[in-house]
Amino acid sequence: MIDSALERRGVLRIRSLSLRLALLVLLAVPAFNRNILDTLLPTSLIHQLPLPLLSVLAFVAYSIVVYAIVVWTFGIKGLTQMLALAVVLGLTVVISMAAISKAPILGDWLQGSKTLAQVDAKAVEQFFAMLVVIPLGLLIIHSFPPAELICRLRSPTGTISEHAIRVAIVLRIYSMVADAISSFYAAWSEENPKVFLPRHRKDIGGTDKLWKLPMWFFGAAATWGLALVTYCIEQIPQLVTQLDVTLDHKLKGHNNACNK
Amino acid sequence: MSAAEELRFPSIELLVQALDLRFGRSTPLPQYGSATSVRAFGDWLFAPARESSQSQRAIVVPPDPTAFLSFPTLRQEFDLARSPTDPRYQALSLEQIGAKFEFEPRQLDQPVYSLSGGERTRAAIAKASLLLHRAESVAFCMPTHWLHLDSYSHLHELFRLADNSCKPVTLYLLDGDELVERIELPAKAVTPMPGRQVSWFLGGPNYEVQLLNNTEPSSKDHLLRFDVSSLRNVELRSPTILTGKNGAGKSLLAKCLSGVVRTSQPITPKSKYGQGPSRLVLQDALSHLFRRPIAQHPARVFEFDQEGKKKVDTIFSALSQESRKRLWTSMPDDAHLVGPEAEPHTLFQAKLVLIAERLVYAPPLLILDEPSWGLSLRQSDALIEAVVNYCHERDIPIAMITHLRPRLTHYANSTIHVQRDGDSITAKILS
Repeated sequence: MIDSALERRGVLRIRSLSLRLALLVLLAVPAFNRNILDTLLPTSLIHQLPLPLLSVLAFVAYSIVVYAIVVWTFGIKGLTQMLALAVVLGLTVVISMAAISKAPILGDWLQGSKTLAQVDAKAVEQFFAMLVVIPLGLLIIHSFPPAELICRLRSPTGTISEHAIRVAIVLRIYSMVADAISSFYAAWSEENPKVFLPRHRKDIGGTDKLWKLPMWFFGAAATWGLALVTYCIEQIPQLVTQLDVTLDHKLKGHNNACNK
Repeated sequence: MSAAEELRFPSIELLVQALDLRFGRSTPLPQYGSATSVRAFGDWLFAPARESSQSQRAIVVPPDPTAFLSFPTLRQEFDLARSPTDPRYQALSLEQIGAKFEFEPRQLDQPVYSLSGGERTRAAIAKASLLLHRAESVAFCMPTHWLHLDSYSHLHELFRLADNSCKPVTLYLLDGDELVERIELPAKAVTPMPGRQVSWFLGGPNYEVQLLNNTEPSSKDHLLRFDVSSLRNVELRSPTILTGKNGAGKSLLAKCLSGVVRTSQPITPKSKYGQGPSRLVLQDALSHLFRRPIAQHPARVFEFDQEGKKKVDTIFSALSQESRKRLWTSMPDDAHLVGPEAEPHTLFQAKLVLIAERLVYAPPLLILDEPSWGLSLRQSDALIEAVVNYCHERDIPIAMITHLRPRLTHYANSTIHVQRDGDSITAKILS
């Protein structure tokens, strides 16, 4: 049944969920373990010339392994999209850290006992780390599609526990955000053809831009956040009822497990 | 049809109330705003657990069929809904089940949100048919508001199956909804401004649209080709009706004209107000509100344009009054169907405020995607007449998309028929 429901590529070909999880955890250990990452990417990297060759080679080799698994699973297009996101987020972090570290009060807080050069080195390290961590994180998320997990709940062998159904609902709500973004994006881009600027901005001019546009931007982010949360909340009762009708003949114990 | 009990309501708000009372479901309408949705969710969450009652075992397809589809793709939807013990579908593959409901194999793997409203309704009918085996009753809301006339047979088949299994079916309809393949409405002409003609033209060459077909990173994009050559430099008279089957590409064409979907070549309408992207009210009009109450919409959109905000309030008020007057003229008791002036909260008012916002700065073309969705026939007539009247007085051309052509035919001064053949979409003028 699951084969018919999902096209399997890369890590998705590993049928056993626990084996798949174990492999991904193993792959993620270097990226998410502070000690290992510091060894691969020492904070003082940019002050050590020539660079410690072994560290650099190890980091490059590790990145290649991660990228190869991403390409295996999601193709070159998937990797490109993930890297684009990683570069944007990475640059945002680096530029923000650089700007904040030079600011009067925030800079002191960020620096702590470090020198300015150490803070800069840290920012560069984080940039390179993000180039690997973000594709890896997305690989892990996409390796457990909610639909597949829900399909497995309806395995012809065995019954389903209430906890499993709760997990399925939580996962489906999570994936529902993607559906909602698409529908809200169409409405938003009609309302604001330049997505990051309000369509109607007659009252914004000159130095006003400096505070009115950021104000609008935060207001827009709040509007989106509230709309997405509300959308998901609205769907829950219906989704629960649907799963109840769909899966109830498999439920262990009583037949109202989904409801509460 | 005899198998289904029909319940009719003068507005969607009353229909939803009745649905909630009957089934204890919580379906707050989005135009009520986030607070109402969160409260309704709380009520549902903390309500005493219901035992397996009729309400739990009923298949309820709500006014928005998307809410009935729980999974990202139709393949998963059908796979999970199909019962291994149901003899009708046991031997069929998912592709065969899809084909039974007019779905091509590729559509089974498309994300549900990328399907048109009519296709989602067909998917809801398919899912209801698959679940029928396990359910005790079926309730279907407003199917005609999404479904093309040619697809009504699927609905009739569902009713027949339910009837054979002695499972009651209730249809929740709005006044004026007819579930027959051919609707004969009295010929009626809208002559808001006698002798006044408003026209528009469509510029630009044929174009291509690159559609993101899936959210999965590994998915392939989809290229559609639009052929609009027969419309080029032809005078299109307002109101123009864009019609075609479910999934033909009507809404996509409107999104291309409005710049919501980027095209390989710019394609923009031209009228008295110049050439540029049209303004569009989407079929899923309520997504424009971003779950904010109706009254807050102008303040949000015109946060940095106080003059525009004043204008939108004036236009909203004028359109409301005109609609109320038209409803009162046809039937005095119906005037309240617009909604309360003090605290607007109806779907009718949501549509009016969105239209008013788009008319503040006269666009080259105003497009309403399925303006009669969620409105009874009298409400829909009042809204369309009020808006067409207002637009024509100001020489703003208007185009309306509908899958239910007979309902809007009497408004059409020009009709564009949109047809899809594989990856090619053709728009032609109907004489």
